[in-house]
Amino acid sequence: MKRTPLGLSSLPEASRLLCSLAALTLTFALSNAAVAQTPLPLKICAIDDRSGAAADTGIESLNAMQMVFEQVNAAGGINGKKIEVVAYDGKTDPQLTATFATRCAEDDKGLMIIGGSPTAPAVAMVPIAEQFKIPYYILSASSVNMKDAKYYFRFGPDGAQDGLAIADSFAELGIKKVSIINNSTPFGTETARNTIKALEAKGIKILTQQTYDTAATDVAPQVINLRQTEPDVILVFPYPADGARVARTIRQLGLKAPIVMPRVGIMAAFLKLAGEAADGVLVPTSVDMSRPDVAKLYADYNAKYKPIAPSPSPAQGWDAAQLAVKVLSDADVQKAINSGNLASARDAIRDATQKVGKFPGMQGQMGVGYEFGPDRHHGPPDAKFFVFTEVAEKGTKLVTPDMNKIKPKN
Amino acid sequence: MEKLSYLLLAGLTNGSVYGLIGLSLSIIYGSSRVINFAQGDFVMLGAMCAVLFVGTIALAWPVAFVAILAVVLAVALCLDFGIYRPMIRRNAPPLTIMMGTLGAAIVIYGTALLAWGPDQQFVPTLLSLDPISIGFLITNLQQIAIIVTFAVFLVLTWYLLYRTRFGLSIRATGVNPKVAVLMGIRSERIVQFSFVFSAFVSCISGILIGPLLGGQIGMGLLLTVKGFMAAILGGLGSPFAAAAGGLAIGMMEALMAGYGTSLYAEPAIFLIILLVLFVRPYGLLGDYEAERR
Repeated sequence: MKRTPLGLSSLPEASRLLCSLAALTLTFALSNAAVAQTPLPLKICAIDDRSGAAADTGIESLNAMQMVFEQVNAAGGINGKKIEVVAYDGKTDPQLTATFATRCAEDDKGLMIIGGSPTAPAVAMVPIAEQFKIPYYILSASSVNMKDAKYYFRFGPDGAQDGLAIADSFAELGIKKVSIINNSTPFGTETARNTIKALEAKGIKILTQQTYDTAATDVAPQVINLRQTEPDVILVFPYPADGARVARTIRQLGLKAPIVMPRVGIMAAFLKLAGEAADGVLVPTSVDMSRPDVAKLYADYNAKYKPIAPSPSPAQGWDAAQLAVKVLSDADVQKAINSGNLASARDAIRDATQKVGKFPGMQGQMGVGYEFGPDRHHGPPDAKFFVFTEVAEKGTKLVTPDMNKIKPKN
Repeated sequence: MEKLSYLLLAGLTNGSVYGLIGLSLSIIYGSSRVINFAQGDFVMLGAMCAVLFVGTIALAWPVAFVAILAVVLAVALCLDFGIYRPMIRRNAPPLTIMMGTLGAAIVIYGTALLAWGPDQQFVPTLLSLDPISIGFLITNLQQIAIIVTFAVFLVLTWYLLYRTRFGLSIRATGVNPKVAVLMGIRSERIVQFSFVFSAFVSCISGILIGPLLGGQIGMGLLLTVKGFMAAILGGLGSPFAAAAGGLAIGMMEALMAGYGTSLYAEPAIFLIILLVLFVRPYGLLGDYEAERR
């Protein structure tokens, strides 16, 4: 007796087709479920300027971030998963930086972005973060508007906070007349504008504001105008190389007024280029080297990488990375990551960052930390976030200044 | 009076920098009708090679000077052999060749990034940056050297173009390269010379500007833009017009910063350039280019 083999071929045509369709649907559903439940890799995109005008900031912050992630990964990662960093160099180019942010959100499937030190490229990533709903930790970028922030958070002080700290100190010292010189970049003009507002609110008179192009070899026209005003203090808002030119020209033309140069005054490039002209420059900075933990961070950094002056960038990179680790370890975030749903994971990271509240970091005076919340995406507080430091010994040392010496004589 | 003198000195210094780059751009344009977008990178190479040969390798200045020139002139020849000649032999229009020079600028930038990294570097000074007094004016030797170099290159270029047979060949090639070839002029050689000479001018500029601006691999772009503005304002066809354009921009910047509002100096200067071009589309001294057309 001939046996008919069992199988689909034994079924009628219509039933065979139905069975195939059912099998296909089941396979598709199962594979989808498997994909949906594959945990997401802990991928963080580090997008910043690493070869343009503000390369120092991007390189130093990434180095400090890597110090944190290497420690975490060496200890087994977060719940056994290691953090992967995808680094992009935006070259101070807003368009290129925005392209990298899109690539991170779409192609790399990054969980979050950390970066954005110079303002213009940092601003260019804001719409990308909001459009793709990807959390974005802005490191510095003092001029980014944080009012409508949903997915982005900032670690560096804004331009107004520099101004407030300067205005408070000047008012305390009895300084009455200030002259300002800034470059024509968004950083220069914005920080100068905010500082003028804060100084005027304290009744301090602005004698003149001078602006120059970063490509100008000679800034004497602007410095001559400063000289004619006889200020108690000269405030300078430059980039490193032009800051050196301004400091040299101020000394060359015989101006004796103290120079205050927020942020840039302690950057390695400025100190190297200005040399002797940097001596005596006072810098309000968010890095308080009298704090033992901050001093240790910079000692470790200098031992691992090229030694640098204590600019805020490593502290900002370190703090952003620490917060990223804390947030990625959050139970809700882990649940979302393990579900394999990228959008949920990104939302969970945003929510967890908003829940952080007070977070201690390497910026600010001892005991002062960041504060994040649903309506507070800008971390640094207004009070006690800055200390003054003074450049000495041809730019090779930073010392605690005697602020009384800049008090006006009469 | 003191203030005006300082403003004029600053205008002359900045104008000399823009003028030198405008002059370099115009020399190449005059012989080939091509704007070399890599011009600013020759300036950058001059400054950064000074960092390498004087700062890092610690060669004596005369030896380092020869080494710097050798590197920059080799890159200029690469630009001629690698971009201009292959394209011109395939009848590429000037716009395509310009895109080629833009590509070369990106390659030079990338190579410089590998060689020097992105950091701003201290460029060793050929002359002292210490203040010196000239009457009541305080300046430094490096700044004076920039002005003197500008004047020297102006005279040298004038002599070369208008007092030598070779200069006549350069001008003839600029007017019509095909006719120049029929007259026995080797126009490819003329263009090659213009690349090398303009690279030489830019390299010297870089050595002098570097200590003041700080050496950084991206410094070429801003300087190319300023040099291009100078050449457009003065008149692109003539090196002297481009140099005059540079001086005009430098002076306008200084006077506007000194007496007007320095905050709006840049947009105001662009507006003035635009107004000048409405009245004289070939630039302030652009008669040569206007007649050629």
